Amino acid sequence: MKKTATIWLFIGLAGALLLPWYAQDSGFWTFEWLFGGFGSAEAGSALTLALFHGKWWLFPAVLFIGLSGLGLAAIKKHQMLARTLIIVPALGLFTIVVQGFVIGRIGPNYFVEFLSANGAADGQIGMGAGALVVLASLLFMLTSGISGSGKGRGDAFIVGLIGLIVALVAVFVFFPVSQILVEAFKTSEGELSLGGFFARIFSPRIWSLACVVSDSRCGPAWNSLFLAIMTGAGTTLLGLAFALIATRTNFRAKKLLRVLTIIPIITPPFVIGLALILLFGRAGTVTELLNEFFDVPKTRWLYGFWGIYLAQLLSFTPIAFLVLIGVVEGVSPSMEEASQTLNADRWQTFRWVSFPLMRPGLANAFLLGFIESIADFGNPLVLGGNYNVLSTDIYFAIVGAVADSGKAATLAIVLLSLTLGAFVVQRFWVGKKSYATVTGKGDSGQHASLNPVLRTVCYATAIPWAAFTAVVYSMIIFGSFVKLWGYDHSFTLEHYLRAFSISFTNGIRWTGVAWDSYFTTLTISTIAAPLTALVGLATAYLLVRQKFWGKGAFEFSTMLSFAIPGTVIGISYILAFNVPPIELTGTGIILIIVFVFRNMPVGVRGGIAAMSQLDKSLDEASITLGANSFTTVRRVIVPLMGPAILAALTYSFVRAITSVSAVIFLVSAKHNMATSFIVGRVENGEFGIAIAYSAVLIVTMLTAILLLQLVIGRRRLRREDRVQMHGKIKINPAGT
Amino acid sequence: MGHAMETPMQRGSVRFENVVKRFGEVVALKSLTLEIRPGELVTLLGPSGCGKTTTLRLIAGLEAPSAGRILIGGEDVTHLTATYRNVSMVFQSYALFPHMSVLENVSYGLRANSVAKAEAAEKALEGLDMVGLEGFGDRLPSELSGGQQQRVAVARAVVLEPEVLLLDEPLSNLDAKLRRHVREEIRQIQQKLGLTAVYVTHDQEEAMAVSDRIIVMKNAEIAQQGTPSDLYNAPNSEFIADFIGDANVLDCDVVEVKDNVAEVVLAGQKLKVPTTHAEKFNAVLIVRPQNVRMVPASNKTGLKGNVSYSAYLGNQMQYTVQTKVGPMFIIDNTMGEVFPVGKDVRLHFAEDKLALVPS
Repeated sequence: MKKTATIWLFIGLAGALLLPWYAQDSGFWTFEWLFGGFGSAEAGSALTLALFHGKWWLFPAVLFIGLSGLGLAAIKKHQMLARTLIIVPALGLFTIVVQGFVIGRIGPNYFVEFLSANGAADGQIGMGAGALVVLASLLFMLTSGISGSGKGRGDAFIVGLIGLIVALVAVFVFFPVSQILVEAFKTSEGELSLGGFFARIFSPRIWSLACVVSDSRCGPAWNSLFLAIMTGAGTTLLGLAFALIATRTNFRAKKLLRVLTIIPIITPPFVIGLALILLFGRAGTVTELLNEFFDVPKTRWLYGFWGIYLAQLLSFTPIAFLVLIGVVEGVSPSMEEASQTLNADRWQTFRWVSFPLMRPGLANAFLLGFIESIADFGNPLVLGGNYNVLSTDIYFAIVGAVADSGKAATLAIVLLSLTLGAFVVQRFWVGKKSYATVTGKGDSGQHASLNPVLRTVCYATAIPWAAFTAVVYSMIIFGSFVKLWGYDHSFTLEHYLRAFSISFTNGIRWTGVAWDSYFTTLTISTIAAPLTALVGLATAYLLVRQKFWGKGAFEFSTMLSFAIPGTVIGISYILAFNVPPIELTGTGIILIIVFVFRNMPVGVRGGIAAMSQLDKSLDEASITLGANSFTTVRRVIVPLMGPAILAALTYSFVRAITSVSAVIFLVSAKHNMATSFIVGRVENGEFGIAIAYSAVLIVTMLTAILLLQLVIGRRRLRREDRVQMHGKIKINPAGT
Repeated sequence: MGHAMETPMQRGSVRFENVVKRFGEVVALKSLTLEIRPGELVTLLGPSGCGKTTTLRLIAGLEAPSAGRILIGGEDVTHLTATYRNVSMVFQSYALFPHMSVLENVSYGLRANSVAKAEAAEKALEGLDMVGLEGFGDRLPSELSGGQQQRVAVARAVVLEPEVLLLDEPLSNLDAKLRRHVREEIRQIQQKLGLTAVYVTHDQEEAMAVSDRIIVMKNAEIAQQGTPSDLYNAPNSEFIADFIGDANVLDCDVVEVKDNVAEVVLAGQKLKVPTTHAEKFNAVLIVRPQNVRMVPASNKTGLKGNVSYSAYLGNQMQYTVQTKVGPMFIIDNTMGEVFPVGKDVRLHFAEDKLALVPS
């Protein structure tokens, strides 16, 4: 305890005495603050600002670090020191957070008269490096105090990790979401009002059912709900058909089936929408053909419910497939064999045994489809037409003629309630009823094959659908090489050239219009991916391997950000991080942060799955052999988690590139992302360049995935090469 | 830390003082107090869920007690985690690190305790020699048989020269023949190094074979402790009698207790049974199957019975005999006269080998 705390004490001292407390306009890493000197009002440290610039409310930062240091130096009794290291840093954290919220950018937010009279009238800007270091130092001194007090089993590393992740989730998930609530409670005069809140939440503008009885439009809430239910049902049925074919038939092209369903994961969100426009839009290929041969009038049917529905089915069927293939495989063959030895025929076996066992899994797939659909932003944005849904309405409330953050916040709360509702149902009702039992015991035996009728039904649904998906994707390639779709079908490289041309006169100049956003996207995704994997897997480690107070709530809160739609995250980040104490809007950091916390649940899930397969006695063996938790993680767990790390890295990288819903609120002129650039082109009707850019993104992601496989996969491969000579490697050490 | 005025205890001793362990609502240990002396091999024996593994994990530091104190070598280690306790453990699943070679596995603990690389490797090789695995250092655990993996696990634990060696059902993944062999080896290594060892098993035969002392646990507390022969010959409860070896438990009347001998009436038969009780008490009679002799019905004395089942096992005959006091399980090692099913017999008891336990 003492060693860890002392290290953090010195880091904290440096933060409080030397580093600039506030964010620097020129950025921290330019080091211009060094030359301004820490005595200046802009680049001063907490100490100098408090002493020479009248910012007395920064004194606690110095004071509590100092007190912790005194405690460390003076207190010899272990328990007493532990208690001191809990109380003092906790008080420090509390006062620093409070001053950050009380004194805002243009002056005090609370106790206005008193504080204005006492030197705080000018307010303060967002926290910077000094504040960050001081807060981290206080946090880790606190956790080392907790670990030293002997409560619980954690050593300093574990408790520190828990503290860090709790703090991060609190700041970057709970705090922003709570800001939406605050915003929704505010009246137009800026006062908090409960009545106004309910009036807005249940306003007929959101919940109108007018479309049922008349021609007028329904509220976006009903639209979203209806769409989500339809999509959930549709993707589940299609996914089930694919899953049954993949596991229960001798279908030859199973591998191809899998590939076809994996592709959508690396597809930017509105690419499917664009391809559908190329096929079924007013100038689309199919529309033209039907018009020419059957005189079907050209309509705009695609822009509305059916367009979004089609696009969402294409986008989310793979997710249902991935869930259901696990479910279908999870039904133990021995149960089906037992049923057959009891003289049930194949149909009876399916109806009475296999299907009831799959039912919870189906409900799960439905809810996932529901959540994905309701949170979907890209497809409704491209194809929505007059069919308003919540996620796009939130966006238009912010970017529309009048930015109405109150309206956006209200819509966000409705959307959040719907997804959270579905999430809670999924976790606590469906999740508990799951029969899918993976015992770890090898189940030999054969899955019962499908009866002929069911097999025909599956083929009849899945194969045309797969073919349709293939057509949709080939449109992306065709569309990018065609001058003007529907009018001028001559071959051209013009779109690629406009986006990605390079001029070699006077050295290399990246003259294409897309380069800026492309490089930004790559940089930010590359930084975000390892961070996401780190946070996600660290959280998984804590959840699977450590016991601590409040673990249930901790798990729920880390999974929560999975259920929060991207648009809601986006709007909440704008509300929360546009003003001190944390000012991040307009920076690249906020993009990285939003990716880390949006994609973290996937890392957590993957990590939990991988870690659950590692026998717990491996960690315990390491610990009883005298290694501490950090060594155990480094030498035992990480080496055995190779595939999970790879999956987390790949996934978070790809998600960072394809994500649009949260990002579109947070991009700035300086940090524009590929997806929001493409949205801009789509809005201008420049489909060619949008599609060309999408194709480049897909190639980029494929390359990146392959590279990651090569770099990270290598170590594992070598191991396996070596093992191959003698026998198969076993992860479960119990095996004989 | 703690109370310095304790009676000094030697290296390798373990003491639990009123240790309680709760998992939420479930009580895994009710106020356990026990003492393990340096150099002895103590087995924690009991049915599953009795708290024996929890006790082992508490000694290891993998669990923290809800109340009470734990001392190892006289030092209070209640709040120390496993990393900082000088104990090592052999796991049921062996828990060999699959990505490290045998040598890396065995030297892992030494390296974690900052022993220099060369010295660690040297000690690890010695450890491998001791368990008879010289030359296997470069293999991966997956390339070894179950018995060999087991020995690597033992070597990995003992090279640290721990104060206490913990073994959690170390033989349960081995086949029956190998078990006897490996348990002899473990016992030899333990005695050679003079290690204190705590051994968990649910197999009473294994426990009898390896232990200096057995602690039988039931329902989260100690049911009885003692040497194997104490437990077998003088069980203190029906549970122990039944759990340690086979036993017929018969209802009887205690007529009188005098000079450590109880006069007992069993279905009209008078028997004199040794007891530690000083006064008359309500008891049941414990009869080991080999302490009953079957004689032909023509005998005038003995409990009447009728053979309902008989089995030939090569070195012994096993019978079930229906009597007035219920069915009795009997083993005949003499391989003398064979009694077929349906035959009437008389039963004679070896009275000095019977035991009474309170009912």
